[in-house]
Amino acid sequence: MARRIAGAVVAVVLVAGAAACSESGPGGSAGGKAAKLGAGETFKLGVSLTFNNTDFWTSYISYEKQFAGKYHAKLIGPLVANNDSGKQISDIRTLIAQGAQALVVNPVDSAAIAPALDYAKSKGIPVVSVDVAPSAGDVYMIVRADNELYGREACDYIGGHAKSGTVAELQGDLSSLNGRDRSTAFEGCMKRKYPKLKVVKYPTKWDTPTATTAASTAMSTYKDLVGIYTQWSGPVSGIIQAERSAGKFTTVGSAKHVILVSNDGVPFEMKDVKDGTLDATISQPANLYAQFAVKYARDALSGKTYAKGQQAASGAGPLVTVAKNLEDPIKAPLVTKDNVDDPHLWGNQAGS
Amino acid sequence: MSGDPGRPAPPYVIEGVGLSQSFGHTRALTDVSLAIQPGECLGLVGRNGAGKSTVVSILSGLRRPDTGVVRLGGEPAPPVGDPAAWRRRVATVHQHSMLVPTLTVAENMYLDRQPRRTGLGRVLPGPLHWSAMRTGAAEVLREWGVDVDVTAPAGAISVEQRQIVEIARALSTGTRCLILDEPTAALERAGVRRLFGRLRPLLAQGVGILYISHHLEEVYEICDRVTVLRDGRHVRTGAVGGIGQDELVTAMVGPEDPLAGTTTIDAAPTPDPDAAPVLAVRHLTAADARGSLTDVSLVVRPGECVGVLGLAGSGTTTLADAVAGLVRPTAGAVLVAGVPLPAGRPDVALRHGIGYVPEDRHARGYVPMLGVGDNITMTITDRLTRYGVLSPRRHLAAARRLAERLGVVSAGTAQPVVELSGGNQQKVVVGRALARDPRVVVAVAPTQGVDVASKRALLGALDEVRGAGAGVLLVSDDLADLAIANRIVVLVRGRTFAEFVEPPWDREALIAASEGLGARDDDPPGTGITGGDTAAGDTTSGSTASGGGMGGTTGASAAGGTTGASAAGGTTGDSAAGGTTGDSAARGGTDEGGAAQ
Amino acid sequence: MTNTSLEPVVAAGWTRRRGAAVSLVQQFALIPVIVVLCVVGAFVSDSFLTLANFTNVGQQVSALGVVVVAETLILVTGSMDLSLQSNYGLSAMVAAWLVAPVAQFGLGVELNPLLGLAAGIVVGGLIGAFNGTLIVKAKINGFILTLAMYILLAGVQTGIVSGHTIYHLPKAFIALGAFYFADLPVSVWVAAAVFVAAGLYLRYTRTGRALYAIGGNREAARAAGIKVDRIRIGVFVVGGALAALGGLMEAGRVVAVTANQGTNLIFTVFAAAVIGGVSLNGGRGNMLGAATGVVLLGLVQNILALAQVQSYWIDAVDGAVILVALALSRVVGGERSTE
Repeated sequence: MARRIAGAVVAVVLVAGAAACSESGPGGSAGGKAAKLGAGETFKLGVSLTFNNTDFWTSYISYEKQFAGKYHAKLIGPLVANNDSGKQISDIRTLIAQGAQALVVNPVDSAAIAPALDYAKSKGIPVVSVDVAPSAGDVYMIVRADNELYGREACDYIGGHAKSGTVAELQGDLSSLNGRDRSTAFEGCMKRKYPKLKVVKYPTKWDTPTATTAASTAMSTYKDLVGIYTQWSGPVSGIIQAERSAGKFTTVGSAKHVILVSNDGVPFEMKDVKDGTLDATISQPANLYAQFAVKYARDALSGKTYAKGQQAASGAGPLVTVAKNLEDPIKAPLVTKDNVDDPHLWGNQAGS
Repeated sequence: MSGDPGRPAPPYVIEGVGLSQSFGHTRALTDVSLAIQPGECLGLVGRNGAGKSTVVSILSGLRRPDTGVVRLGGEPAPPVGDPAAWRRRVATVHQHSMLVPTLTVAENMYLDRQPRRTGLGRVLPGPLHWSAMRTGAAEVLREWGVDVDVTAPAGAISVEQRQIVEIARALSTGTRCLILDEPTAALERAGVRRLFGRLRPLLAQGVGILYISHHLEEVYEICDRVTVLRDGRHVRTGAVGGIGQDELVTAMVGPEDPLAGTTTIDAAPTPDPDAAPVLAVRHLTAADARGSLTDVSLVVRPGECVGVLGLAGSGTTTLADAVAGLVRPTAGAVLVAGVPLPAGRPDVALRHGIGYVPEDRHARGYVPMLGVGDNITMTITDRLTRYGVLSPRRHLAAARRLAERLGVVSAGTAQPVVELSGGNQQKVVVGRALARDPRVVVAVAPTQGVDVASKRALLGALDEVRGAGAGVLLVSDDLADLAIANRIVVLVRGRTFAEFVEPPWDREALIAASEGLGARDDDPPGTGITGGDTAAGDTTSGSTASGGGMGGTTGASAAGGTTGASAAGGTTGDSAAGGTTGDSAARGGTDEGGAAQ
Repeated sequence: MTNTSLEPVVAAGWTRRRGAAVSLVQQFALIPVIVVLCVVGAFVSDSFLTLANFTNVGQQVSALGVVVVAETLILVTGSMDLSLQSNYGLSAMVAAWLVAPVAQFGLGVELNPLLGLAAGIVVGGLIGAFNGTLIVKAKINGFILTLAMYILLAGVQTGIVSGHTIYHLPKAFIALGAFYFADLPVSVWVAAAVFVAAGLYLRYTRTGRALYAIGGNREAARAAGIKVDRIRIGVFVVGGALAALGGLMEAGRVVAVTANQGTNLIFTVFAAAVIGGVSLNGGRGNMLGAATGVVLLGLVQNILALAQVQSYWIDAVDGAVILVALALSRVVGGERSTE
């Protein structure tokens, strides 16, 4: 008898508990619209990132602090998910619980970010997505340079400076959108336009020692190696050293030089390009990413609206759409010896 | 040993004065003092929990006593943290194996003192000299008459061989003081004889020995004096010749204890010979590293206890394990109440009503960190659960009941079994076997390493179970255990060799039989044995004499067989192999009288 | 005197014969696997069987190898240290941090590179001492403690440089990992020296044998007079220092210390050790086995890269090969010997 009562009580508790569960937390319901932000008024900006330990992102973080001051934003975070999309979702909830009025998010995964975007929307909090475009869910603006363009530019540079031979591609993490974009664009372009150059692919998952290993393997495997494309700046020093150790190092422009094209545009790359040890790099402007992420967040809270085709705030050209969201296509120039001294390049500016 | 009164006595080899030790709330030792003179063997006896192991740890330099002083050769002992200094002075052979199973026998012999090749003086010691290690170890073991491959890992040799290696290792350091803690626990009689043969010359050379054992007859044989501890206190010390066995037991157990003075159980009444057997073993053949079986058959009737006796390697443990389902026989069958058991299935055996008390309780008997309650009810958890959920109330009640029945002394049913004394641990193991009210209890060496009072309690429990109608198969070479048996079957080299049907048993006859010595040489090799074969070849089967004994033994022949030197009148059946039991006709012989070589 | 104990004699003879044969097989159980891999490699690419390729592989596994030596020593005593991968990263990071100028995210003291290297090794040893003392004296569970340290140290590694990578390390600093000596990379010489020294230590010194005794039966070792606690802590210290050495070698090869150097290393370390016959329960294993485990994993990685296995499948193939190597080494080698 006691057993039966106990069972009934348990059942009631379970049902009640299930009923009490709901998607949104306390105070949740399609959130009411906050009042528009006045000029000069401060707002709270939550920041959710994937990484904080690559040169690009550490620079981004310090630029973001600067621009927060300029746009009167009080930063909450950055909270770092370390490549874990589950953690990112709870990071975003935490930021909202701490009173963020707008969010800047660098999604770990373009599809997995959707539930977090829906949640933010239900609370009436606008989101600006940085560096990665979500494939589902709504954001106010995407601030991102065209990663496929990176791949194409690298391809054109190498293709333009080598006639035939083997090119080693050190692929970034193919489970990230940026890695995939750069890789497929590079490979497609090489195949179409420079069929005489054979591409060999080495997956690296954004790990510097792995990339260095891959480069030295390529050097010893292919006698006709003419180019190396690394999708981020980390491995550059290691690759140059490996070339020296293998006795294959030559400066840019010499005969038998192995072309080295990199990505990111961090300060030491500028130096290397000037010194003639690095052929080219794509300057992904951490400063512009930071600046416009904060600015668009403020615009969202001020009630400003944008539309496709309209001039982008960064001046890079018209706004485009990516999966129903607007994107500001930040300009990421190719940097070679010719333009390496341009003071506007973020790598040349102090304070990185 | 004692010098003239005018000269001061030589310093004691080892001396402990006023030793006291507590572990938390438990007082293990209270003001215990003992001393060993050069060339003397001092026995240390006491029940489990009396404090013997603590004394051993203190005198070996493994533990610092709370109060008291240890002196070696008259000088204060080295501090506890300096094992090298202790090792030169005191060598201890512990109860638990102190060999490293993954290292070779040779290396174990020289653990931490491996021979080195020449190096560069004190600056750079030379590398280890492996071949010297091997030859040295082989030589030492050869002197002991043991054939062991010194390059085999120590975990792969048999239990007795391990013991011998440990003793040889202890003795090879050339110390003046030797402590032996239950050294004969796993040795058979020949091994014990060899050990004593080795100890005597050492004593003659002036080495002092502290000898701890539950086998009181050994203490009487090898020791000069004996010290009795009880509940952590010293009770008495005296020359071995001046204290009778009963007095010794009284001292160990305490005067108020009703168990004092009695060490035997009355022989059991004979069960009904026509009842259907509750356990039948038919033509069982099995191979096992511990001893193979060849075509062994026997039956156990309800209410009967059949003892099985044999040397190490004769297959007695294999027989028990095969019945319990732990060893897969290659031929033959085991039937419980007429139902054949599938081979190698201990769970099925359990369900059919077989309770098993294993040989090595540490390895197979109990789960050390689990409590008394959990261990003792392990075999009946299915009866304590409903819908797969274990009922704590019933579990506790069952555990308490079983623990009380066996008289387990513990701080409660939750106390981890590893913390109990040896006797109580064994009670838990036996309790577990009896928990399911088995039809057949198979017990292997159930009182090994157990104190006198616990022994009695354990044998009493087995006897009680037998009295309630179960059958008991009792494998043991402790003759005190076999006192509760109705019949004893002796195995030699895997075959049934002899059977004894009339209690009380003649120790010498039993021992002789277990060694394979037996009938008169004019007896035709015949069946002298119920349902079994004779031993191969060399000796004749059947009877052994009782030197003066009681009723004859053996060969109740089913097959009208011969032999039977029935002894009434006690003659000496000679054994063909020369040397005899009977000759020692004499009573008074010790066990060792038998099977003289 | 009749020999009444027949079985042990028979058993001893059997053990003797079996012992010798098995021992030989055990030592070299992995060699056939490596031969098979070399055949596959030669088949896959012409450049596999070249000196350049092998020196590359050597250089790539030498840092890993040194950490495997460290972990093997700890495993033999019956303990384990999961934090070695973070030690490998943090020690190198601290060394670089002390050497690099402020502009490159260093501390600013700009220590001499050789002193920086020494400081890195000292840091590694101190971390090992910390782990060892807590595990041996305070009896904290080793698995949990070193797991916590693994996370803590990785966090400190990122924290002191705010996530940045330290680049442009001076030549003296990177020599360990990047330079060559007599046509072979310095790192290969160093790793080989460490393996040989550790192997000789384990076989020919008393304290080396004590490690096996402690791992095989700690109480027996104590009873034999071995200073168990001291040796156990010592092994953690040496392990930590060796892991730091490995980290410095890797930093030299890559000419940078990333804030996450060391990530995912510990799995490869354990895989190499276990494939090489080191027992996770303690008391078994030798340096020859560990070295073959390291070489085997290095060759697998190399062959996968040369074969241009599709990048999405590389991990799966890598894992499958490790599984096969493990099974083979167990089947062929059986239980590993200690000598």
